[in-house]
Amino acid sequence: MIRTILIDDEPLARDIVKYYLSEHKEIEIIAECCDGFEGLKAITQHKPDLIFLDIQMPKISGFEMLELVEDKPAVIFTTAFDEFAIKAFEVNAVDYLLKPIDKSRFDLAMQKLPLRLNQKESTDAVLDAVAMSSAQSNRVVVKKDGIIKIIPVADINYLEADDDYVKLSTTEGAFYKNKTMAFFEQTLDAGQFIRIHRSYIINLAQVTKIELKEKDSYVVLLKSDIWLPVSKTGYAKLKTALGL
Amino acid sequence: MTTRPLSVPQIQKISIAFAIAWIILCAAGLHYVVNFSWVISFTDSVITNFLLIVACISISNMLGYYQPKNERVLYVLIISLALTFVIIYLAKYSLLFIFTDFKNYQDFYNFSFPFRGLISFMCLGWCALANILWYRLEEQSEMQGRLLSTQNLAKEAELNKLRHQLQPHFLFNSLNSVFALTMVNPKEAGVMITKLASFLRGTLKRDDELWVSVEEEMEYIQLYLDIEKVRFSHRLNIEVNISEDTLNLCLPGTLLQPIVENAIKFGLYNTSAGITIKIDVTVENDILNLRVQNPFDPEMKATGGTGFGLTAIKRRLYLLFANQNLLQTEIEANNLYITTLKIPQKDDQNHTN
Repeated sequence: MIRTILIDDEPLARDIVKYYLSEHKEIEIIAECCDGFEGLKAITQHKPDLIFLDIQMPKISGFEMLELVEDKPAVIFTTAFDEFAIKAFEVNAVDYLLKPIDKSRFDLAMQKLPLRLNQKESTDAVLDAVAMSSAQSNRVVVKKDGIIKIIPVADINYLEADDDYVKLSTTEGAFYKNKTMAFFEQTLDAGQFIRIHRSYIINLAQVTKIELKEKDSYVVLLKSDIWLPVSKTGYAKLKTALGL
Repeated sequence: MTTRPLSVPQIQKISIAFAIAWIILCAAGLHYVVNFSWVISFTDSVITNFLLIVACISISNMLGYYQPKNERVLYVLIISLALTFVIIYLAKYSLLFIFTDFKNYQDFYNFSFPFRGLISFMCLGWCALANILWYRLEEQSEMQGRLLSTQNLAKEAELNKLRHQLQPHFLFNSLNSVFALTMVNPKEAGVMITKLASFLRGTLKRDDELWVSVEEEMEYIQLYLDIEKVRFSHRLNIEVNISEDTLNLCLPGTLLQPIVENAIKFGLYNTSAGITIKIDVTVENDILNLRVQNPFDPEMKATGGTGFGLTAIKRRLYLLFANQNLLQTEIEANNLYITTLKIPQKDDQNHTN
């Protein structure tokens, strides 16, 4: 049996997927969720094999929810209209269904399912591609102690590399996100966030002063009273960004 | 900035080849026809033509800065003439200075002086006119390009407007709901299809310029809300109160809908709880009051990005009534967001309808 969760905020949209799935005896629907928070909880709890996921949902989008899932199930996206997302799907060969969902298209997705169940890489590629779009880059969704937190990027003081994670320092404390520094360097607004060091990206608005520590080595002081090292190339970037 | 003819590589190549050929031709003419030595022939040809080339280049560059209007073309010929005098006298004195001892050459030079002048003037004049033509054509193609890009921009804006009007996200989601209804509840599906059709018809009919009656506008809004209610039946409650005396009043056709859309977007799309959206329409001192109330999640507001996006409506109101205060928003305790739209009623607008 393929254990499946449906995540969509519109009951009728879930109904239609359920209706189509009733012909596929190998599928067992173990939960239905109407937003990303519920979806995340259900996925963590039930560890499904497959999810049907809408993108535009209350609170957090389907993409943002998926980013927080550690052990990702196979995903079939369902969406009505989202120009950017559809482009990301097409490029990254993830299965997606456009609403209103066509029966034969749905059956085709189900036929391809055995293949999808074992490969999750393309889902990650879609998430990365979508995160690069400006529509998503004004906030970061993180999980801490089982609670989902939506951080507006302006609230981030600085980011620090920490093994496989990136630590986001905000006024409300530190949060961890399973991404790379390069990812944040690319997605965050380059006019506001500067990579000053291999391990640090800072929010320009937080800079209070820059000091020469020793020859060719600078340090920067943030409003939160933290000193961070600045590399040589980082210093050059910082200077241009501040217009010095 | 227009490109200069002399900055085009192809023209550069051709002109250089042409100049060299001309210099050689002149020298050969002097040598074979008038029987001067090669040295004299070449020196004469090189100096005379070099000055001519310099004059041609300077006239071409000058025209790059200033292109005469139709009636001023004559000035260009006068300038060419003046330049001609400058260069032929320069050539004359330098050549006669170099070849002071050659009586033959001096006689020949003095004899040929007027012809040299004529040829130089013709060259310069032709060069000037060719340049004027070039710049004119350049200007024209540039203008064409500008026109084309303006047209493209206008087209794009139109397309964007249409796309926005049709709200594809809303449309496709609604279609999906209708589709589901056809299986679950065919009767309801029929009702929804007709509502969707009426709503779309209303959308296409909308015009920024047009004023509509409250009755008409509220019918349209009601259709929109009904469709949303089918999509989110379990959690959308709508309360609409329209006082009788407002039904015949008027308002600009595209103001209320975006406000209600906002209420839905922030009230409904941003939460998964059941919510109530309340719309009150009243009239007071000849001012039509439209009050839209929706709950919102204060946590989501900070991350909503563009906020409540009412700036465009404010701008339109200002353009229509020259008053900044017709759109007001307030946040009440227990997280209720209230948008109030005030439309001053002018007598003439009501009578025309």
